[in-house]
Amino acid sequence: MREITLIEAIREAYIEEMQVDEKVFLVGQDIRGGNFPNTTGLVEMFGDDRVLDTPISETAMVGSAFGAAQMGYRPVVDFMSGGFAYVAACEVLLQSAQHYFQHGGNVSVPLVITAGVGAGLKLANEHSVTPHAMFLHHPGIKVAFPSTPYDAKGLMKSAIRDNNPVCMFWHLALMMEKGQVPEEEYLVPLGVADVKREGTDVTVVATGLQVKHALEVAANLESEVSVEVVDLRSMEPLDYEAISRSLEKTNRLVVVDEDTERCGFAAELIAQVVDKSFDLLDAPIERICIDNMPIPGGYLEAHVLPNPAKIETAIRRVIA
Amino acid sequence: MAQEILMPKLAMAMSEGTVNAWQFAQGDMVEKGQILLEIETEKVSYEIESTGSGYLNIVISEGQTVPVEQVIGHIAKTKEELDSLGEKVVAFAAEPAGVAVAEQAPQVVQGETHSATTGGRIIASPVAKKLAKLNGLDISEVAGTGPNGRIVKRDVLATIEASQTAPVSGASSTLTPAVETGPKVKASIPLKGMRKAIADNMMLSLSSTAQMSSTMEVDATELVNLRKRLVAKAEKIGHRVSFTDLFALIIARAARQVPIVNASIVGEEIKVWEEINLGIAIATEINEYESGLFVPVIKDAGRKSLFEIGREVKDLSGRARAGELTPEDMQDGTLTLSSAAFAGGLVSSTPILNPGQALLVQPGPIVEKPVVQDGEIDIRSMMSLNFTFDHRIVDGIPIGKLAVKIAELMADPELLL
Repeated sequence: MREITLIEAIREAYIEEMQVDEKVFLVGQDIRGGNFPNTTGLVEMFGDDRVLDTPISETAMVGSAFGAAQMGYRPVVDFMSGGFAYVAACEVLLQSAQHYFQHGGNVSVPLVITAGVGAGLKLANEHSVTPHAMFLHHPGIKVAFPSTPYDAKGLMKSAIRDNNPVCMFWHLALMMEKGQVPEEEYLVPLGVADVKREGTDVTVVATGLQVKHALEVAANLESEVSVEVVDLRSMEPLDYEAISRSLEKTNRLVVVDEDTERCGFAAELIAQVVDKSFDLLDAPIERICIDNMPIPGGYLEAHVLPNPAKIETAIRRVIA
Repeated sequence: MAQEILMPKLAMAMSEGTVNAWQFAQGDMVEKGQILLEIETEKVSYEIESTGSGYLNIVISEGQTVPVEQVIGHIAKTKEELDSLGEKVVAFAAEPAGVAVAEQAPQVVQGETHSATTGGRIIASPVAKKLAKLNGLDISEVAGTGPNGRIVKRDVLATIEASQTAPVSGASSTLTPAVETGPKVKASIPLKGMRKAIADNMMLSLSSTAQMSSTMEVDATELVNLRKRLVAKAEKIGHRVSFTDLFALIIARAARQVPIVNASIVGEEIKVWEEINLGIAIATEINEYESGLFVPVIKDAGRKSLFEIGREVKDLSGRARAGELTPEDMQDGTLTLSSAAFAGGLVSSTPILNPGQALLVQPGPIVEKPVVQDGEIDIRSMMSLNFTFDHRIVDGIPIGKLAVKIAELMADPELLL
């Protein structure tokens, strides 16, 4: 099968969906020129009306897209960097996400929010933050975070076809990561996890770049520990069944979440596991997150981030 | 600094002890020299004195079994120190009951975890608890090998596996009637202290050695006559000679002639012991259901005279019945003289070896019988002697030699002098 990069996979998703549905259009800052290659050449293919460059105002970007979505369009808002989502938090989290519910299910908001997120490029806090916990905290918006080109394309297509807001983050450090993507069309449904590696001793649940880290550790420990890596792909809806299925086998859990530890998704997931699967546990659950401090720029960054060494330590602790 | 109160190691073979009863409550003021608590080892109770004065902090509550050298309490000099001690949570797992047990059956051993604040809560992972429950296993029977002695899934699985290979395994055995639905329970006797020690030792013995039993009939007429003469001189001697004294002497002397019966398997070797340390089994009755068994040891019995042995037997049996034996009294036995069948009038039995020993001899009752001798029928005092030996160490021929030596000494007890 051919191999393409994650960013190219997302671009293909845009192209395919824009070709089949003329209501689909892109909104962002300098997306015609393309800060990231996911929108390169799209304005030539689909015209100015469907690839909109906006002023530097996230509030205006989401506000206009939110209005268009209510009118039946399917806008994709590209924040470029996830940290900028905070600027438009009200438009995204309270307006777009909850509109359908506030209006008794009569008005759908088929809006997609997307952004490159994640640390590792030494860009400091605003350009390194992974804001999924903030999104997850607000009911009404689905959240996906793929780890492979295949999943990124399939999830983006599902997101565009969804009738209410979906946010799909992609990790900046995976932008040029290559992976197998078929030529023929496919979808990856939202809310379905994928076991990226089967194992029997410990379950590592992760998303995005941390799936890659977990797989690396699992391969290194192969002779000692049988590690199962569950890639959630979506955090909302959460495929809890996949986690409990894995825990039935392993009885041990490590959650890797590239986000500040305090009040993060890992904490939420662990609370759910303790609540729903207490009797499956054979050891306390470990979580590996970003330390509870701002993500520094430069070389200091590496010290606060999850990494394979920290994941390995956590695995060794839970199998002790 | 608060003084630590440790579970003492009263004997080389002692690996754990049970806190029987604290004589003071948490926080009580205690004085140096006062009896703080009573502990129980496999076969004895022992009182621990306070080594200092201050406030008592209890770490291990009554009924809990802990390894030796484990902190079971503290003596705090001040109230403040006492309060700070209360915050420390002590958690650990008891080691298997003994080295021999650990080698033989590491799966079914007591493995309790305790904490100072929760008074002996068993720490087990959720899945371990669930698995134990599903399999009808008492989680307190499982030794925890996880962090801080936590009982984890693998420990429960190991215990289940062990119970499937061992025919008798308590609650998890399908051979045992169900307590709720089966026959009515008349009494429940806790399997602890001496009872547990006997149970563990008997199982260990039968499951780890190749035991064979033989019975011989021997003419004890001359021995009976000798005893009569000695009893008549009891006042002069200062000791009323018992058959047990005589049997002990005969067996010790006979064993000296056949050294291989006084041996043990240690690692990959058979160790033949220089000294014949003869254990004397002494049965005690506790109540309608419970009886006890002590095996105090006469050290170097092979070199002791009848009267030395007699005085020791009297001293040890007296202290056994009073519950005053110490672990030292009962350790280092190399072979055993049993008395149970002798007392009950049973003629023949297949006694169980004391673990670690090659031979156990159990005399039957002395009965007058018609015996054919040189074509004439004569009335003789006959008795049976039951031998159980570890066939890994001893074959039939040495046991036959031993039987001949014993018969010779019985026929002509003056050889004993």
